[in-house]
Amino acid sequence: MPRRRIPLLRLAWRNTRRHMRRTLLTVTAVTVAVAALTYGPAHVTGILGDFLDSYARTESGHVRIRRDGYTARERFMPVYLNLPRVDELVAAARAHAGVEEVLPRIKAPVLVDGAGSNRGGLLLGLDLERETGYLDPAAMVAEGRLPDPGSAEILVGRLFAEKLQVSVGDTVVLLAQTAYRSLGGLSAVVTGLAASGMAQFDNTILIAPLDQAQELVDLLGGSTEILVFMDDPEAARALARVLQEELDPLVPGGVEARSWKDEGMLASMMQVAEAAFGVILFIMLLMAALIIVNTMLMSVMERTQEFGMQAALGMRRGDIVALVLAEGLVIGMMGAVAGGVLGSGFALWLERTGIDIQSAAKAIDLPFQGVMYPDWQLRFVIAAAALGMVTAVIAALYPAWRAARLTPAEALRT
Amino acid sequence: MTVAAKLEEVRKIYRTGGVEVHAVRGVSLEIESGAFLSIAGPSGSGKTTLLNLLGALDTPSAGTVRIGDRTTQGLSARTLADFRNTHLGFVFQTFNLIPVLTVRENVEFPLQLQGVAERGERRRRVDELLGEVGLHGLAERRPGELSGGQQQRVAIARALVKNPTLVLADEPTANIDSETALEIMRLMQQMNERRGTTFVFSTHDPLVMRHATRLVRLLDGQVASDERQGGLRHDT
Amino acid sequence: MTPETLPGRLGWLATLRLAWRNLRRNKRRTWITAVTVSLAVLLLQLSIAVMIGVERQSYDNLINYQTAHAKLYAAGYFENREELPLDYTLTDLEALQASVQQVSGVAATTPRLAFQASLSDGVDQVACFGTGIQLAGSDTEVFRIPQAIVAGEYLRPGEEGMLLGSGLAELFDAEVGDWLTVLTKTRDGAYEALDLPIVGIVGTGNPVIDRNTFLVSLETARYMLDLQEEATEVAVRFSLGAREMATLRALVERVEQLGYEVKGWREAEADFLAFAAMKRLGSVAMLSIFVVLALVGVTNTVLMAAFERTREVGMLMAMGLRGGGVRKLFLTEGALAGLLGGAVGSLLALVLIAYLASVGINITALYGEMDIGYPVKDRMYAALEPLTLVVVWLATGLAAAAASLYPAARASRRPPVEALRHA
Ligand SMILES: Nc1ncnc2c1ncn2[C@@H]1O[C@H](COP(=O)(O)OP(=O)(O)O)[C@@H](O)[C@H]1O
Ligand SMILES: [Mg+2]
Repeated sequence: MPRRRIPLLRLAWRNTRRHMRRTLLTVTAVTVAVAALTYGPAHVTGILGDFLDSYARTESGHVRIRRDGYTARERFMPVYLNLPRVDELVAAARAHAGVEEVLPRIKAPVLVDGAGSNRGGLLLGLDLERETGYLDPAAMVAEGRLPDPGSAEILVGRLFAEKLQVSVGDTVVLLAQTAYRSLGGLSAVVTGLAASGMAQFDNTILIAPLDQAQELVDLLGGSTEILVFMDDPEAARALARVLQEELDPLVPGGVEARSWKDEGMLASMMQVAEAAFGVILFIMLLMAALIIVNTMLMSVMERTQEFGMQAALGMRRGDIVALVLAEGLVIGMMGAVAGGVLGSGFALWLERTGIDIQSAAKAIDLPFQGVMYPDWQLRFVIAAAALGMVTAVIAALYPAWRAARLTPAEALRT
Repeated sequence: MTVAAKLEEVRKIYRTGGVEVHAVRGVSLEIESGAFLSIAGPSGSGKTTLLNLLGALDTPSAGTVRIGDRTTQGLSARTLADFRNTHLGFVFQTFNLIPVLTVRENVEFPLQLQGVAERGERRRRVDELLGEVGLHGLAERRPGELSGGQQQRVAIARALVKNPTLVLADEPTANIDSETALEIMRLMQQMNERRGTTFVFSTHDPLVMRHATRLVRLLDGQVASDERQGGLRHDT
Repeated sequence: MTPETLPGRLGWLATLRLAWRNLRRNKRRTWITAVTVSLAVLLLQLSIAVMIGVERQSYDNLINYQTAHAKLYAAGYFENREELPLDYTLTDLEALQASVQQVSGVAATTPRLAFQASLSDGVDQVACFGTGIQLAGSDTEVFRIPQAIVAGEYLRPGEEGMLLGSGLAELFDAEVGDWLTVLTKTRDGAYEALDLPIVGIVGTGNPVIDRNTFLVSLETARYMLDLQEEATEVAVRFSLGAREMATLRALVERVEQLGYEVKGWREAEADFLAFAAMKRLGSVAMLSIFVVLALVGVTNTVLMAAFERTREVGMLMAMGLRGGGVRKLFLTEGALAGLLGGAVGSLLALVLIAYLASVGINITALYGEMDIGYPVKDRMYAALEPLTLVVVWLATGLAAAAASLYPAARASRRPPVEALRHA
């Protein structure tokens, strides 16, 4: 028996072109869905990614090591829960593969005495050089310069300095609880003002060289936390487990090593975002599918005689099913291409211009920069396009079945 | 003698894809009121085109078409629509009834379009006509439930209900068997005589054209012959 | 002539009848279209109801626990309010309150004293907001703190103690009866410390209160801050049914020439309103995609219907129906399909909204202790508003008619001769 060759796709393509307007409209449905499904993940990844990135750099690292029990009392920023001999820990963490940088930080609530008034602030003691690209104090300097390690110098948040009525060159006095819960003091010269773009930060922040902060809180050689940054942030959980095991015995009282993925707030935010996206995706594709079903049913019914003819000429039921499915695929492909292009274009355009959420960002207490950028990735387009095509083929199943059910006699009669 | 319609040197040229088709080429014709006129000719000879011109469904490429006292030249689509609404009735080969309306509603439709507001009035006229075309018991049926002949009767009733100047029937018997065709011809004849309505119908069936009192033969868009004749009758 | 009697046009009733019957002619197609529309309408209705619900709940929360309807300040305070300064206090309280009370629409007023403080349990210390409230009489007439007591009880007049925000209580792992040290700084810069017992714990769902605030009596607050008969603000509640903006204007007129500032809660919470508006915008953007899909579905269906009935349209035109009549016919058909889908979607939404309005969504289960941006406690309730449901439903019909414009126009522009020739 000779092999049967039916030019399915060519036939399908010709058939969909018969009613170009109708086909295009149906394709529009797939286009809209695919475009939305291309842009959606770019949007979410953009905000979340931006947010996570900024959160990791300023706050959590990819793995954060602190003294056991610190997380529960986080809001107090208890300096008495600290990590002594931090160099050893840093070296141990640095020894792991995939670790990009390890940074000790001291965080301490301080009372600052400025020119006219005094107020509470947050002191960050940093390894200033190494922080470049992470908390990046150098990039925040809006006026003056960074403090020098080894000298009693300090960088002050610009808004904070305004409230304290101090400027570059002035001296401020910092008061803080020490690691031993006594009161420590440090008199430091303001060498520069910091502007990060985040009001919350600029309103409260003081940045000192790590050694100066250590002196203030009486924690020589120690820090309150160590942030580990990784080449692949997705591997953070595994590393956190390893570091927990490894570092725990090195610190009296133990440590807690947490990955950024286990920050409670982030985890629940991602979960809700994912669930919501799942629902949206499903309904969007369902709607597109229904529109395809409607169109294809009509096109199949219109061609009743034609199918009868083809059946009479020896086309099998399976061939008819395949033909109609192929038509679904053609519609799906057109929609996938158009939608992919549209969604990507939109995402890439917004990646350039950004979305301004300045005013709204103030209301929520998160480290948002105020302008948000989607994050377009090729895999989003591929996934959306694939979903669009699969949906179109699935939608074609019912019309295909209807077409195949017509017997030649029945089909030719009408 | 009053004139129901008059064609003067009418031409119709269709242009499709760069090809010109001269469907009607220089037809002049005067149709007197009360005529029962058949336009006969083979397929493609221009019958439908001519009827469309007479029915103000289309306007000529050259020449004038006068229906009653108006020419159709240069009228807007809307004016033409209104004109058809008041002066013309149509019967088609494929009946073209509105499938979702009942027989009564189909016949009533032109009256609604004409703005006959009073429902009782519309009812009276519809029922009267349905009686005349012999469909009294079928008023509540849908077209799909009727035979071809019955559907064509509904179409005739619908064409007549607003008392048009002129009824145009394009091959009204082409889609029905020959026996029913004769019945339809008889019905049209009756209506023509009883109401004095002018009928112009096209056909390529010799038996059907014999019913006409005037027979215009078309060939390649031109009048080949124009004769008056007795008009075959089947008196019962 | 009534529209019904104009020649060449089909009356509304006849149009409706024809459109409706045509929809029934292809039931499957109509239903598929209706389901497509209904999905969009369901989402639309639900989102609107949840949005209205959570916003209303947030506004109530803000008004009941934090902002009242309006607050009066000494000139200069509002601009610096984030500092909780003690440099701009109100002094002649009773006269001021009496004067404000006369403004129509004002239901009650109460003085408050807001200040910066630190709380300490001897081990840890945290900066937070203290608020002195008037116990004898008026705070409960403006604010609804007693409703939010989750443990212990409200302060009695003359009682020395504090009501602690639930988040702070959790932080200190403190219970009713425990003592905390309050550290304050007086206007002159002197530090004061005072030990106070926790009398009640306040859980409002509003993070500003729960995680950052403790309340003491006005007398205690004045004692700690070394102030006389002073307050930083007079909070005002409007009567039920009073017109907010009008009352606010009247209030401003009354006190501005006396050198005071009046700020409505909307101005005080402009950041929150901006956040809510942004959320709304985000939802609109998302929902609009569904709406577009639904409209594409309607356009497609009407296009197919018009195509299928080309000859029928030709016949209608032969009988003298004008182009406008043809358009009206298909617009009506689209609108009816939209209304059908809208009805299905709205009814489903009604059931879900009724459930969400009475049972609510457990946001703690969803988000844990995370600040979701809306000051809402435990559960978020949808707003069940029949009028909104109906308006959205009718809008669906309008939108569907709009979506039918293109196929309708196409059908009506086709010359009757051509339409009649259509196979
Ligand atoms: N709309 C049109 N476009 C192009 N050609 C047409 C059109 N209508 C009719 N014709 C051509 O005009 C000629 C006359 O057609 P028609 O009037 O339908 O003839 P009949 O009704 O006698 O069969 C035919 O050759 C036909 O193909
Ligand atoms: Mg013909």
